[in-house]
Amino acid sequence: MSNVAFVVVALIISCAVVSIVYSLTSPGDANRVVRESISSFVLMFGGILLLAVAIVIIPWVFGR
Amino acid sequence: MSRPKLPIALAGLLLPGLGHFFLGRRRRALVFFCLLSLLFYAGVFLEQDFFSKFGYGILKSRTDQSSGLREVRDDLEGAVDKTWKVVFTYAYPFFVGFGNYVVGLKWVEWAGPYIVNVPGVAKATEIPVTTRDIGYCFALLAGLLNLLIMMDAYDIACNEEELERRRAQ
Repeated sequence: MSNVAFVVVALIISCAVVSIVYSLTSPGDANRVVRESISSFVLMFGGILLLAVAIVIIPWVFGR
Repeated sequence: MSRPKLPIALAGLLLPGLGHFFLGRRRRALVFFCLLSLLFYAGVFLEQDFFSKFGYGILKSRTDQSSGLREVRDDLEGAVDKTWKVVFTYAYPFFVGFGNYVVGLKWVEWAGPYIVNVPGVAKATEIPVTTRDIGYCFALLAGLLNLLIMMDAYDIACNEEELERRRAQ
């Protein structure tokens, strides 16, 4: 496993833990925990990936 | 029956999820305890200098520790650095659960040599900054999430009767 893969795995673990704790602490039905965990994980991980992509793309489009 | 709300919430300072355990939410407490403990132990495993990051910790006296470069640079630190150092040394061990903090100290001593099995680490004495930063983030994240869990325990303790009424409907 390369260093980049290790960083991505670390990011996935962090996002997963935050989303599970978030869904368990948010008020609501216990049946919603899994669905809420998945949706918050996708939002969080996707958001960070988008941000990372934007950091690469913005300087490329508008110049440094 | 009214329970003492604040002590229940502050039980999380000893172990993550202990407040939820006292509130009868045992499964949830177990999930919190396992998740945050694993995250903290993984963090201190990857960042081996975690407990001596600022030269001395709450469990070790100043004389026990060698004076490294960090202490020499003390006069170069600003107010934010100095405040963070105090919070990290004296408050953070309770944020993450003091029980976990104490066990983590022994865990690092025991698991330290196995760091060479982590990708990108060739020697136990030369851990890349990326790996150390990931460990630092993991450990800090465990502390922050425990604060959130303690607030949730306090919230549940305050609204216990209302929650019971809704569950009964």
